[in-house]
Amino acid sequence: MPYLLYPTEQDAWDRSEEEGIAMGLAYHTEGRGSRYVSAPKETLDGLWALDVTGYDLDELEESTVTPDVTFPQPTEDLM
Amino acid sequence: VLSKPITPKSMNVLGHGLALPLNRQSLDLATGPLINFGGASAAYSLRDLNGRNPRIVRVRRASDNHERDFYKDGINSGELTNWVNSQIVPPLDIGVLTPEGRIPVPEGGTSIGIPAAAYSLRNLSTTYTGNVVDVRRSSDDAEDSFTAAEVADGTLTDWVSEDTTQYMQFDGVDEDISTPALLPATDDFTFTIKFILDEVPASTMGLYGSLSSGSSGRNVFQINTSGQAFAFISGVAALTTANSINVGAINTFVLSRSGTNWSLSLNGGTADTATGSIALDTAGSNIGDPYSGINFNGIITSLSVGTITWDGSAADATAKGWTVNGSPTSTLLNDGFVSKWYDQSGNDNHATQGTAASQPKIVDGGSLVTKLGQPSMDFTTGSTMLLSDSFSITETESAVFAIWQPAKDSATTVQARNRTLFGNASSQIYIGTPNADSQMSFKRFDAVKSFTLGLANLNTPNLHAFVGTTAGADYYFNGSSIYSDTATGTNSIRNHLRIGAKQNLATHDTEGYISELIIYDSDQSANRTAIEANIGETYGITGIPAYDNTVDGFVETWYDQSGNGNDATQSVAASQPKIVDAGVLVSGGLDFDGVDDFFGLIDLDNSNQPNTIISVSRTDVTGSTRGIYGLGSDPSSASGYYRSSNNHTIYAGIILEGSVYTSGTEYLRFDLFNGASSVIGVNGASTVGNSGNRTLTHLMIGDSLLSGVNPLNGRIRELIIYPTDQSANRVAIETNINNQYNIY
Repeated sequence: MPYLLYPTEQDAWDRSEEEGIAMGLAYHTEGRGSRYVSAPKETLDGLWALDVTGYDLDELEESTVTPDVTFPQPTEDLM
Repeated sequence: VLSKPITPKSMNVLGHGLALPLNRQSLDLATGPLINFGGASAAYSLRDLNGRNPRIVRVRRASDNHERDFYKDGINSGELTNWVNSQIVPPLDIGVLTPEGRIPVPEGGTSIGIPAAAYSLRNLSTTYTGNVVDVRRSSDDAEDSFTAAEVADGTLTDWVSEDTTQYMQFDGVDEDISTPALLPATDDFTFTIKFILDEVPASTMGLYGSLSSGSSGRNVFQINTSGQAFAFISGVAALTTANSINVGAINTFVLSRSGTNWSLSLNGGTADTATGSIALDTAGSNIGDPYSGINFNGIITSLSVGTITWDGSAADATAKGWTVNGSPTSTLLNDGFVSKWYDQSGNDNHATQGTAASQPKIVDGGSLVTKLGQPSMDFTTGSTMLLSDSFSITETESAVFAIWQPAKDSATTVQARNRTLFGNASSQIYIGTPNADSQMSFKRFDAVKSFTLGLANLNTPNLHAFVGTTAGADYYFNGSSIYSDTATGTNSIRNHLRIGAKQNLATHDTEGYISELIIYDSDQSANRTAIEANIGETYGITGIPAYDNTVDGFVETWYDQSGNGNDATQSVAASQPKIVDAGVLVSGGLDFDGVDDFFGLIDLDNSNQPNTIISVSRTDVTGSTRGIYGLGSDPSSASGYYRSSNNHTIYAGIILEGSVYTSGTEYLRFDLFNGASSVIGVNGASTVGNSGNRTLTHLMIGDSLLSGVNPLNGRIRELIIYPTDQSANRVAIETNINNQYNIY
């Protein structure tokens, strides 16, 4: 998957919402409903990765998009 | 890490023990809606759990991200899938079918072909931004151009109403206005009266004049049966204009006296004149019912003579001391007529009509003309039509799509005869009803083909489609073929489009409504359903199948049926579970993708154990932990899930495993969190043990950990949370659910 990496979670959410506006998600057209396109995930090195599949990226974003993201390993059996 | 879009709900003010809003005594416990045993905190299902046809889900369709709510009745009836699959690509943007589907033209797809002409009151392409109509307003004959958005948003009707003119509608029976004699006996004057008639009167109709047929100097002004203006001035002359009224438009009748010279004109046409001297009757007069002629049946917008000006309102008449007889309606004249219907194809085959009386109406009395909830054009006035002389197609391969009502509302079978959608100037091709009851016809290769179409389909608006090919022609009504023909012939060029009429205007004009007309000079057999699907969607015509059932639908909200308002929401589009997959309703509940789909967080206001969670779900994988739900002071502290050990499991600080699960199999689970007496029940069987003592406050659905590492790869059909121990009711609840889904 193509990801954009952000230093903060807020930055990633802001980009997701920006794309939601561009896509006409219901929250932005009707005042309720879907607001964001995708949810950021924290990477192993503390950045925030946003899956930008289907996003309309600008040139700068196109040049920085990466598929190489490492997420923390699941810990499901610890609970 | 708490995901941002999760907004905890306010605390449930109703609290524990709230009974579901239904009468448990009235329900069939085994097969009806699931009744409440002590009050659920939250209840999610795709069926009706409380017997009130509640809202079930709010769905986002992937094609355009539009969202709407669905009730139980709409889910299994096909309403949901039809809505998700709706064809949102307008006709001029439809791309040819490829292995990847139809890629819209604005997105790089190849066009199915540009029509010869495309008329509508909406935009037929997302890239079309031009005008759709030119409109003339009847109040002052001003004209302006309007886009589809301006038609829809009220700009058009506002403009038509800008120059408002009062008018009075006379019924032709007993509605008129008694006045003193308005014409001076001997002085010069110019008398002007403006009026509208829907048709040329069958009998000479009075406009204004003296009350008495015996008085000296009597006068009467009328419209005769040829539509000409007529004025009789006793002792002088009878004047008749050469020209006739414009039906459906404002007409201006002017009689003037200058010394001994008299002059009568209509609409500025050549005046009829006479000379003579007479003292006019001053005994009194009447508007609408003079001494001669039938009562006026139409609209009078104003009257003026000398210093007297009547604005067409009852109030103004009364203020002048006149007597308004009967109850004529008096309002503003706000009609708008189409003088140009723009061709959106790019071929500039715009359809025009320069004659006011022949223009279809788009604003009627200040209101936009609509049919099927969309703007339309009223062709009910006689001989209305629009022309495009530049239009040209070849006869063999062609296609026509139209929203069309051939005859007027409630027309009889006779009245529905000979109503034409379009033809060319020589009527070499056309679509229209023949001179026969309850039939439709088209003309092609010099032969008329007629076939049955019931009256109810002729005096209502519907989707008509015609496709001509080298092998014949087919006629479709609301998406279904109603006639097929195999005739072939010379591929002649046909010019000069007429919309709403063919060669014989007097008897073959449409008297109904046309909202949209698209004519292709090509065989559109392969694309017909795609075009019809969009038109059907736009105009709400049911029964037209979506052309390409490949759209996904996602659940933004899964509504809580408990009455506590604990709706499960997901505002991130990519994390919404699927309810329609590639056009087909997902069986077995909502489909969670195993990656990032979930709902949460929902603040349930549960506190201490015991708590009962009943679920119907499945996982599509084994060997990895997949959460059905998470609960707790934060959701990660307790959960119910499919564990990597391949056992059903609950956890509130201590893992309690139940029986073995298999992938793809649906299970009814009865999870009781009750410390050392916890139960994990699967399909009626039980494993009892200690699951821990954590509180169960917040809920997430489709995962068991906030970190998102145990997303369910499977489906959830039903999930009910009780803040109580429901062991005593377990059998009844499980029976109800199992009878519903036949799980075991």
